[in-house]
Amino acid sequence: MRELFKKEVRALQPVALLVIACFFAGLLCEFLTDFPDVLRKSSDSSEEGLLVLLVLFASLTGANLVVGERADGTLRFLDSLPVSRTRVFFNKLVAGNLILLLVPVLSLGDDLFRHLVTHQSNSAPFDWTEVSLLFARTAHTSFYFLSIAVLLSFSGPWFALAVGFTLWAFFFFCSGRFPWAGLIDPLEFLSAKGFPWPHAATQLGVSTALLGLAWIAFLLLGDQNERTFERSHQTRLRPRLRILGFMLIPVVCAGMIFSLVKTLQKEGEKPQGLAAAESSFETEQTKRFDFVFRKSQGEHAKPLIKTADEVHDKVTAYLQAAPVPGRIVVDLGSNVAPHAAGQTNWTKIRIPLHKNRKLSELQAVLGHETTHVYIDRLSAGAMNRNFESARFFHEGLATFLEHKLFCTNEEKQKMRRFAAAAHSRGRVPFATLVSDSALKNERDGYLVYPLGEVFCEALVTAYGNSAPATLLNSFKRPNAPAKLHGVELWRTAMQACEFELERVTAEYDRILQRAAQEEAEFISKFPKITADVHITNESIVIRPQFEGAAPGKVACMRHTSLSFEILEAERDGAIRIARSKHTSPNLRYTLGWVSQELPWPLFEPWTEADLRTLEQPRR
Amino acid sequence: MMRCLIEKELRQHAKALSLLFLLLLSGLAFIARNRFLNALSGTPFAALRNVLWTFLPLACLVLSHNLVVTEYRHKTQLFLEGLPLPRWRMLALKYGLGMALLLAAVGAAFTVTWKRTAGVDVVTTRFLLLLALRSTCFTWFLWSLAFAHGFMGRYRLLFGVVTICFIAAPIVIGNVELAQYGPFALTGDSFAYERHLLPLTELSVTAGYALFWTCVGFFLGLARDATIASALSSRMSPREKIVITFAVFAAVVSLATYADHSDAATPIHVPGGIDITRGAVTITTTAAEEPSESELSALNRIATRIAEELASVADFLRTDQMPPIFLVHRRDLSPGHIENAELKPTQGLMLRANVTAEGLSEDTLLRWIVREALVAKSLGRLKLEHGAWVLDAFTSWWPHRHHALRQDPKRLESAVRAMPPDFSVRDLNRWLSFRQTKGDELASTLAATGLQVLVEQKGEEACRRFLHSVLAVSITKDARPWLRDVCYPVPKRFHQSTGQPLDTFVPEWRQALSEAEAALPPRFQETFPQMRP
Repeated sequence: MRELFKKEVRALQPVALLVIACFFAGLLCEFLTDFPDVLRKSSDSSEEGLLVLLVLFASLTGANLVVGERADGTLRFLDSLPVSRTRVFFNKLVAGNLILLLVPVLSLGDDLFRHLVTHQSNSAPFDWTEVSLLFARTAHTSFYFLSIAVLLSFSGPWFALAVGFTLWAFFFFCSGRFPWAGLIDPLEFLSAKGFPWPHAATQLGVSTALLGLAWIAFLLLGDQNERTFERSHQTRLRPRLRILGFMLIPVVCAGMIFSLVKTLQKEGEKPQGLAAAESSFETEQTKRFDFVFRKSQGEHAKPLIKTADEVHDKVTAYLQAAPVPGRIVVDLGSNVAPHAAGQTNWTKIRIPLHKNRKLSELQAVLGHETTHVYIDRLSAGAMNRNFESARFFHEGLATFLEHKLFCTNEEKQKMRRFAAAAHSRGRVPFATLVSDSALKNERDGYLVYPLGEVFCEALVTAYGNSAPATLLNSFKRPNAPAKLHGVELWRTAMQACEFELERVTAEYDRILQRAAQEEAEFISKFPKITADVHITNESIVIRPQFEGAAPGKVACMRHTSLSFEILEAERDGAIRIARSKHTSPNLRYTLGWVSQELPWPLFEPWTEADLRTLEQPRR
Repeated sequence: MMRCLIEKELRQHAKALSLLFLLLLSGLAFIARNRFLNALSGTPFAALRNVLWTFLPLACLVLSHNLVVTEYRHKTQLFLEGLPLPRWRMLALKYGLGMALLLAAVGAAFTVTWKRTAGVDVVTTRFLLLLALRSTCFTWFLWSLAFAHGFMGRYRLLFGVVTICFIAAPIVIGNVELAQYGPFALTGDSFAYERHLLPLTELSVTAGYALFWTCVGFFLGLARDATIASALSSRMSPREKIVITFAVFAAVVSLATYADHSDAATPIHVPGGIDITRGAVTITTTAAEEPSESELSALNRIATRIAEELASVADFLRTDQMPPIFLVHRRDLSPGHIENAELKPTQGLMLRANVTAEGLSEDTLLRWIVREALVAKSLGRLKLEHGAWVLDAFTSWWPHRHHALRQDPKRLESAVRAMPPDFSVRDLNRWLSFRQTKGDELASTLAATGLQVLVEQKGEEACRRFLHSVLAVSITKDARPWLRDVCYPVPKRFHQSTGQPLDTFVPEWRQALSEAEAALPPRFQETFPQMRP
């Protein structure tokens, strides 16, 4: 037995060498590019990286661990030994896990090394508990992955494809459709604090089931079974099945094409003029736009279509931009993301034409979206490519022009009030504004509209009406540095047009401070909200607490593993999240006011609750 | 003959090709049916782009594997070579067949997406032609790459990774943006929306690449009577497999780590700023709002003073490299508030302050700048514990460098108050904790007296040598400064610069402070009884 185990470990030596080599290659590269004594600890780095490594090494280990014996023709030799296949299987499994344990071991070594080199007398002592828990979680995940890889290895030459499909399936299940999927999500397990037992138990159960299947498959491997399988191939049934299979392929293909094409196809006349496939829809051209709308929307769309060129020309006049060659397509019949009035992709605009929308509102939305088209056009797509750093400017400039050219003072004031109220909840520095993910994580993604507008106003105040266009044009200058992001991107772009970022950010701060002073009375209407969180059998209950009268409804934004979810308070004022919907041991949330006086909910900064420490309240 | 060969290929690979076609359609169905992607993109042509990016490369690889790799691996090309047909025609047939199959699949996907645009997009002939041209050119590029790739035989994986690294390297290391580059730009964000502009540059670059890889493929298939392709197609030995896998992993990990740690930063230029240069120091001043005459003159005066002070610091430390300083006047900031604009250390130091505020202490501002400039010069390393006490000592000592220890009783009093009875090298080695306990000001003053004692005992030159060795060494952004700090720590530098070990100097330092305290008037002595024997 011992010899058998040794043989397995010896066979897996290349994988072990690879794990070690990868680890040291990464370390060497860090040594070549950074100070090792000021680097972050690896346990603080993203769990995604660790997960990728585990998937990779588990696939490498699992691919040949069991089925390799058949491929190499050594299964007969093993069968001749006085050990059962079950023992062989478990020997292999233990050896594989032992090799994969190198990942957490090296990770722990890395943590220790970094602690030693970065240790300062006032830094915290080495957190053995946290590191040990991470070690346990990583070891558990490596076992989970290995069990999947071992079962998939029975797919033979299709192993890589099977791994790919399994990954797709994981993404599909964990994309928020199935709340329970969090329990089988290795990322949620790896990135959790402590050791979440429900996740561990579920994943252990899944691993055991998969290994059980793999074990059965391994027992069935061999000449006798294969001969039986081959005999079944030699029957008359096989060619018939083959013909049937071949006939099915075109049928399935045709069916898929038909099913894909039939959507939205309705009977009706084809419109004249454009070589297109619009049916039951109408199209109308203006000098600058091609409108697509449903027949039923015709009457409502006409006034907008009539004034659309005027809207377009106002925007281009302000931005000093030449009209786009061809026309901009405006789709009035499709839906957009919830809470959005319109959506733009390059030269395609979508504005859902609801009957309750006034013409002035539609014009403002069209102006807003047309600005987006020209922002991308003037910057030659740079604003789109740097979306993470440029979203605030994209939305800010579009909102700024929308209010300047198409809205009343009241509408403008509503937005400014919102900016002032958000400012009262804590200053959003420019460094946060230019990082969309940081803004979403620290505050609220919708702040790009009001605060971006303030930034654009600051830019115009400092450098005049032509400043936005000059700035946008600077992004397409030859030899513009690539790979810049955040403050660096904007500082460099401004330098190129002889603008000073410091001047604009100072003006941005000044406008917000002044607005906060002027709107102090309005802001005082919205008291700050805190919350009491507790857990009942079925749900997590967030009970908002605030002083004074409620100026509106309370909303709660919850951070899920992939995105954000907005929840509304129930009749009793509490917000409830079903426990089955939230499997993570931590709850990250923010509370805010929803009021007609505000264009969006006014959220407080984020709070994190450790659900394991919360107990059911006593009655 | 050609027809027979085509029939043979189709017969041989019928199953794989049908599955491939099915795979492409499933991919299209998967993407086109995804509500999230649809909501994001707003046009079915975006699904076509996603198919071109995800499933088409896969299809190309499978096809090249079937048409090229298996032929050479199983040596069946020998049979084909026996036919009365030039070798190039055989290759051209495989190449053409692969291209035709892929174009048929892409064409099917194209037709499906086009049909799905009903009611959501306006499809003009020009738009359709543009889309077709982009898709065809991209398909040609991918197929020619996969075709050449197929001839690499057992080095396919290596070749694939080298190609990816080759593409990624200029993006990671150089000033290149992937999205604006040849085939990537051709099928970039504007693919599904640009209905008018012909991307001539991108088309020609992509076509150029496609032609290049086609030539490479044909070269490998024809050179030396196809012996190169045959030699490459044999299976790898286990050792070769390990070496190549290791090389591939190491290359990918290295590139990823480099990309993670590379820190892009451009030099700072302040438009309209006024530069003041003194020696190695340049200060650029500017105001966040249009400055008045008095603000301008105050700004100039302060900046000149800072520049002169920093120039003398640089001169004293014998360095001709000081980071550029940017001083921004902010009228809205409170007098004592100095804000660091957090530039990257390689860019210099930018600070915001209200230079005309009545309560602004220029000495405090100066001290703050000297400290932060030295930190920026060391790329932030002077904040680490090993050199922190020297930095504190220098910034506190510098304004008082011309004073002897006993000439400044107040500072002496503070230093003595901060010095514990058992003050030793251990406290210097644990400076951050020591400073936390005693407070920044007291700890800095104490450290400064160390330099004063050093000057008094060993002379100014020794002190300069020591400070130069800690504060003025040039730093590179890699592991070398760390290794230097480990192998050549501050006590060693002290010893080499002054000729005396630090652990024998510290008692002398204590003694000197004690003596200086004894010489003070009784009014001061009463305040620090702990120093008395």
